[in-house]
Amino acid sequence: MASVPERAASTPVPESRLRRHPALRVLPKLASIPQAIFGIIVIGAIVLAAVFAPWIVPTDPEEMDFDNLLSGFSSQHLLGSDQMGRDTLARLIVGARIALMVSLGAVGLGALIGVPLGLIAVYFRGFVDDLIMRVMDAVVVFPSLLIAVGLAAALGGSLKTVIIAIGIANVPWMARIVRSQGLSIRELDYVAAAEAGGLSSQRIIFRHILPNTLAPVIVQATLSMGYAVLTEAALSFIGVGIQPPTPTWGNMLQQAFPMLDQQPLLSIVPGFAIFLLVLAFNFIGDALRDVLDPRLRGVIH
Amino acid sequence: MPQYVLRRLLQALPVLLIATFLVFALMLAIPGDPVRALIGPGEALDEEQIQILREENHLDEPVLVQYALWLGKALKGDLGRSTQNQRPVAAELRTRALTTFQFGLAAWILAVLIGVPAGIVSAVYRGKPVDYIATVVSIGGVAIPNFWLGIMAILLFGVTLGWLPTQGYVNIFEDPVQGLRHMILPAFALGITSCALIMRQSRSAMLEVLAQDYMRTARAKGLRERTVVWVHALRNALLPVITVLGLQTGRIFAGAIVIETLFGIPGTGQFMVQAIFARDFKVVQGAVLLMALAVLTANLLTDIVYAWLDPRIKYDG
Amino acid sequence: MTRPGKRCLRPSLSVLEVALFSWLLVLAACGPESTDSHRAGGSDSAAFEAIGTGEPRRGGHLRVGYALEPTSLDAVLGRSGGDAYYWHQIYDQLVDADPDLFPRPSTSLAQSWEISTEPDAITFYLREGVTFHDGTKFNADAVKFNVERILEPKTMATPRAAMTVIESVDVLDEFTVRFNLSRPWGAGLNMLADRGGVMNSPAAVRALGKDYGWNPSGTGPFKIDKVITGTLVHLVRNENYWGTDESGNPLPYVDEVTIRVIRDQTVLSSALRTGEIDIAYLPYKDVSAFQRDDRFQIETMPGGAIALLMAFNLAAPPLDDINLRLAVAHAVDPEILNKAIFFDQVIVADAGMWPIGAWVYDNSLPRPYYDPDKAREYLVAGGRPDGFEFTAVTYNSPIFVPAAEVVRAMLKKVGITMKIDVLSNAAATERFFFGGDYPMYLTGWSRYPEPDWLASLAYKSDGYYNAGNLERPEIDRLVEKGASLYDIEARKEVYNEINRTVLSEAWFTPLLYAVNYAAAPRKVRNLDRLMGWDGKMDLREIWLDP
Repeated sequence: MASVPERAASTPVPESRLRRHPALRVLPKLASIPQAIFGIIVIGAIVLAAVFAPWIVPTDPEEMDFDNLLSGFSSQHLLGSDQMGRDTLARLIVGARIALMVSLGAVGLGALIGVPLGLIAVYFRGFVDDLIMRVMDAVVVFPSLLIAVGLAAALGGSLKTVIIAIGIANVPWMARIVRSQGLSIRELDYVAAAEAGGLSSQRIIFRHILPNTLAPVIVQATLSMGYAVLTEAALSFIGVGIQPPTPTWGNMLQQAFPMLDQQPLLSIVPGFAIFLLVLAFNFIGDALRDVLDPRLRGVIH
Repeated sequence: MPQYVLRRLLQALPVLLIATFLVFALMLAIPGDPVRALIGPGEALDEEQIQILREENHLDEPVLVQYALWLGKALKGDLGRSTQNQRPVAAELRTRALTTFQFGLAAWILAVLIGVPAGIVSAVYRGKPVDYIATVVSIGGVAIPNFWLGIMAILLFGVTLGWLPTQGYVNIFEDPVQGLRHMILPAFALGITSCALIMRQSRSAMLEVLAQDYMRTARAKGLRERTVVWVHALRNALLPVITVLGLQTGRIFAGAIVIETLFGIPGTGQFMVQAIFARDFKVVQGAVLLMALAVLTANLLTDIVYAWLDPRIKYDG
Repeated sequence: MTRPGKRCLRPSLSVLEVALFSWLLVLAACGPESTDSHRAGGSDSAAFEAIGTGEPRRGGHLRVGYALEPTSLDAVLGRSGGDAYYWHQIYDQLVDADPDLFPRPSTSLAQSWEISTEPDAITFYLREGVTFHDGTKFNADAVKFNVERILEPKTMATPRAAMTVIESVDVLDEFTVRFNLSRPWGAGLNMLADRGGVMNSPAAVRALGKDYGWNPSGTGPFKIDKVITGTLVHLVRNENYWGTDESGNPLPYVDEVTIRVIRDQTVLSSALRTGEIDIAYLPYKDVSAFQRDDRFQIETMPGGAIALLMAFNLAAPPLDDINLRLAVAHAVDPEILNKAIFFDQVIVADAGMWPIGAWVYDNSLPRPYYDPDKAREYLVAGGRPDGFEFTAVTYNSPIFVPAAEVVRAMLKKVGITMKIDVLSNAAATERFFFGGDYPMYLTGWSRYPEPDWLASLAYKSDGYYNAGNLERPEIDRLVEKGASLYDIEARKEVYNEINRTVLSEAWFTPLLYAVNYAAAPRKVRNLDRLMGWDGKMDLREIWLDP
């Protein structure tokens, strides 16, 4: 999603303010925002379900109950069963793991590559900066979904390739944030003074710029996680995502669609799960932005 | 201003080259013999034919040479022929792009028609129930998978109520009624995210404007509330809408990939997905070129319009 | 069994077109069984016959729904079996065939022919007074042009491989033409009933070059009017068509035909219900609902394709061991697959890759059936009593992916772990058959009109669709023998011999044979003449009640 990420970091955070907001003080502040509480509860529940999946899953998600095909709510299958008689609840819970792994993995990968690229651009400036940013522009031209479709088609659909695909689509946003943040910090009076006073570029990067990019990167990352979940679902839906028999919310929707008039429940449940998780990520991301960087408040709200 | 436009155009050129080359290399990197992909899965050619096909498509040359050959022809407007249906890619893309454009435009109009008034209303009636409803919709609209919304719309309006067609495309210029009927559901699914964003942005822009001094002055002068809102605030509230319009171009293409597949619309997105599956290189390349051009143009136009609307922006970006 | 004047076209030379959009059955056959099935079709057909005795009415606009768009309207260049839904309407073949796959001169462009063996040649005596849609004359020169066009490798004609046995073509007079052959060609007449025998206007091909593919000019009952890419193909009546029905009325009956591309099966059914289209092949999930609906008539055709099969690569471990292949083949229960994936609407396979409806079909041959105990015995024999692991490939389709998951669950019960790689159709086909990357491919397969086609491509050691390419000289000799014999009974002997090896060594294990269900509202008449030999639509004898 183009618009949300790039807005998150339009203003640099002066170093001093971040210091007054150590990580420990973020949580209580978050707890005062109702949306954030909602988000934390939803994600907490999904994380717990994912972690304890082996113990709480009602049946093996691959177990096929050929006597109960396409069933609705029932005592054997709380959330119904699919075309092959597999339990929707069990598949939903196992799918939660995948959703979390994809969002964490993809955003982590994006940051791991994007942040250093941004820093390199700030450090060298000039030609290197131009080159890096033009390549980033070239990647940004494509909607991240399209990049992911291309890569997933090239590499074959698996957890690894989906993470790589969505991760790569995340790189330019991270690099852009770090770069724009870094460049404006370099312009700040006291940083410029320190530079003029002989402080090495490396020290400037690591002492002043990197710590100050942290807040926007975290905000961006949280929002991107929601988008990663959406992208994974879309990839699976058009058939290039993580492949069966591994259940993901996206491929559950894909397999449910042809059965839409036979059993609509199959299409409703996983979509709603995706919606909840993305909503939770967005709430937390918005709240984090408000807490970490009040000046951005209102840009989106 | 002309200088600014020129510089932006020059910046776009390398972006275009890099983007098309990246895709070119990516398509060739897909495992398997590319010449087999040219044949497709349904039929058999013998070795002699396969060798001719390999030579005709320069598949033995290095990637860079192949790219240069493609680029040379592309500059002349020749994008080659699709291996899926043996038609010229350029002509095929033109038809499909028009289809996608129609849906994109419909989605955007829908988003603006709902998003802007809803945003303004919720700003004016801040804290009232209307505001809460609008806020919920705008938050939900960003988080909802648009293809799932499409599925739910198909379920409700197509399967259950039978009010609207759920598949295919009818040219709106040939049959306006059927064209519109076919357009409603996909445009809605495609536009919901933009609608939510426009709603959010026009609301906050409006709030900001309403708090400005000149607004208070205008009100103090006794102008009616409605006049104040519409005349003074609207222009300022337009800015975020323009921004979203620019971003929408990219989103149309992205959304079109899934939405066109879902609704069976023969546009660029569906064509590109088919082409990626079939490894129809020339179509993928052509579509990427088209998309990059469209996105870059839209970005440029957005910036120009933005600069024109908002004199605070200088042309030195 | 064959009704006079009944048109039944031959299957196209497509391989995995089931593979393309297989949830819609794209092929079927109309062999003897299918003709019986028309009669056995129950109350639907009977009621239809009762009201359908009037004189055919001319005129009207017939709207058809189909899942695939054409890859080309030039039959010779098309690369998907689904193309036949389009080119059947536009072209005639040099030799047409009846439902039993015997040549039928009355509907062919050649009125008669002579086969000679010293030297090997076939001489064709052509129908006179036939013109192409562009107004030019059909004659011996046109035949020569069309055959030479296919044989020229640069044309990239898909039937070329099957036709290289033709060494040269001699025009003897304006309506007599001789094919000089390099060896006896028993498979020849059947091959000419397909893409390879389609006649294009030489003038149009020369004038249009690469654009001919979308502006075709054949001799068939309908002419191309308009193509909206990805959406529809619109055809109009060829007023000069030479064909007639049994009473001598000129064909076709309807004025115009629109074939709409509808990819989604739910939408296809609902378009039929709402009257947006007049004819479609039903998705399996909707068959029983339509059977209960009085407004519709349904024609069935069993054995139209192979709905599901396991193809093995004989050279890829661990399934290069025949015992392990047989263990897999015996561990899969087609009944369950039929129930879970096909809504119990298809048929459990009881023979080889030539399903019900072909003269070569024979269900007396030994082949693996579901038997988990036997599967375990084969595991022991293969030295893997505790099971083993392998990766099968299939492709992204609403049929094959779930089917693969069910197969996986069944194999798990005997201790075999099957991983599934899902690729796109093109990639899966390519990497299984040419890359040799997988020991097994779960897929569907078109019906073969002419057994040599499958035999040469999939059984011969150098065949295009022989995944392992193992040297089996005795099979190669049989394949060559089968292609050269002119006597059907003798050919059947040869193909049974080949099938014994293919089935008992599990080269291919068909699990389910497809059934075509063509449905239409009652105003559509002559629906029993719809499905050609290949199960694809032929619209020339369909007419509409007002």
